[in-house]
Parts: sequence; C-alpha cells; structure tokens
Amino acid sequence: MDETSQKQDKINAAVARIWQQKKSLTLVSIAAVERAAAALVDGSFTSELRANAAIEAHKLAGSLGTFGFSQGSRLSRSMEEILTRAADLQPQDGQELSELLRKLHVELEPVSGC
Amino acid sequence: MPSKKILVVDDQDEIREIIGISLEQVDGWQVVFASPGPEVLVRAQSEQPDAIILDANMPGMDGPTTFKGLRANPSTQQIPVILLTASVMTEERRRFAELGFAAILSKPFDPLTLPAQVRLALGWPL
Repeated sequence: MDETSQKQDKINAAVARIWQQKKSLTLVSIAAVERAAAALVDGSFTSELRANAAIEAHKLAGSLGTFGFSQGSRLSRSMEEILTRAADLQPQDGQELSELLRKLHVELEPVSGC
Repeated sequence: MPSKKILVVDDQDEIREIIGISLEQVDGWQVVFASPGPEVLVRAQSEQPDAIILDANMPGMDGPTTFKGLRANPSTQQIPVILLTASVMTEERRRFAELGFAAILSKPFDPLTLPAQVRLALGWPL
C-alpha cells in the first residue's frame, strides 16, 4: 500500500470513529426538526421551535456529507430551506418536513441505528 | 515545503476534529484550535498561524465578526482567513466575499481533499 492510500485509510478510519462517538449529536439535531414538524401539524408551532430547528438543520446540512452522507446533507438543506422561508409556515410544511425526515432516517439507519 | 501551522475554529467539536486530522494526516501540518469567541483573537495573536480556517455560522461571535476582529489587530491582520460555510445562498456568499476572506470553502467538505483545497485557495504549492 502506498503512502497516499495509507493516509486515506487513516482519515477514513478517524472519520468513522468520530461518527460513532458523535452520532448522538446528530440525533439531537434531528429531534429538533422533528419537534418543529410535529408542532406544525398539531398547531403548537412557535418561532422559537422554528429558529432552533433551522439552526439544527443547517448543522446537519453542513456536517453529514463530511461523514459520507451526501444525501443526508441534501435532505437537511431542503429542511433548512423550508424553515427559513420568509412566509409563515403551514401544516403542509410540517408534512413536507416529516417526509424529508423519514428519508433522512432511511439514509442514516444502515450505519447509525438512527 | 516547510510545515504550516493552521488555526481551526468551529463550534462543532466533531467537525473541528476532522479538519485537524485531515490537515495533519495529509500534509503534516500543525493544527491548533480555538473555541468561537474572543479566544480566537488571542490564539491568533499568540500562535501566529500561517492561515486560519473559520466557520461562518457560530453562536455568539460568528465568522464575519471574528474576521473583523482579526483585521482590526495589526498583529493578526495579515493572516489569511478561509471561511467555511454551509450556506448556499448566493447573496450571503457574496456578502462574505466582499469582506475580504482569502477564500470561501463549502460545507460539507471532503476530509481527503480539504488540504488541497486550502493550498489552492492560498496559492501554496500542491
């Protein structure tokens, strides 16, 4: 194995290790978006829930791809776009968020147990 | 090429750690870290890194605000600063560019290619 391959293997191993250590933070971020989605549907949505969910969706969009979940980043970016729209959000936006969250769980489930 | 020293600032521990491993493993650079906020200004002054990688979106003191602080201090104003952002909004990225960052790199990033992106952005030999 050449030097470049060895370095790549070390980095990949480190990324996998960090993912195992930190994936619970991902679950916390996902939970914030789930709370916002549920609140939109049941009518208990607040600006605080919205702001927090937008921050967490932004974090997910910026980090999941680095751990190898490119589609997870794309789905999270779509969630962020919904949550940062200028207009007031409606129950159907909650349903859209829920569908994106469902897809995100499918994306992450095989390796994370999310 | 002599080893470089890079100061990395990101509020997400896991991202900070991956940036550090990437830069150390691929290019053998020395990596130092600072938490978001005034610590960045102190660390930059004491460490005199060859470059700073700064996350855009951090609680308290965000990337652009931190950058202005670095530029206001004569002992850190010449250090090139790379902004790392998950924003895809054209207007926001244009605003970042106008502030004078050495480069703006996107999140998520590939840890295997990040060092090359940094070299390219700063005009360092590949």
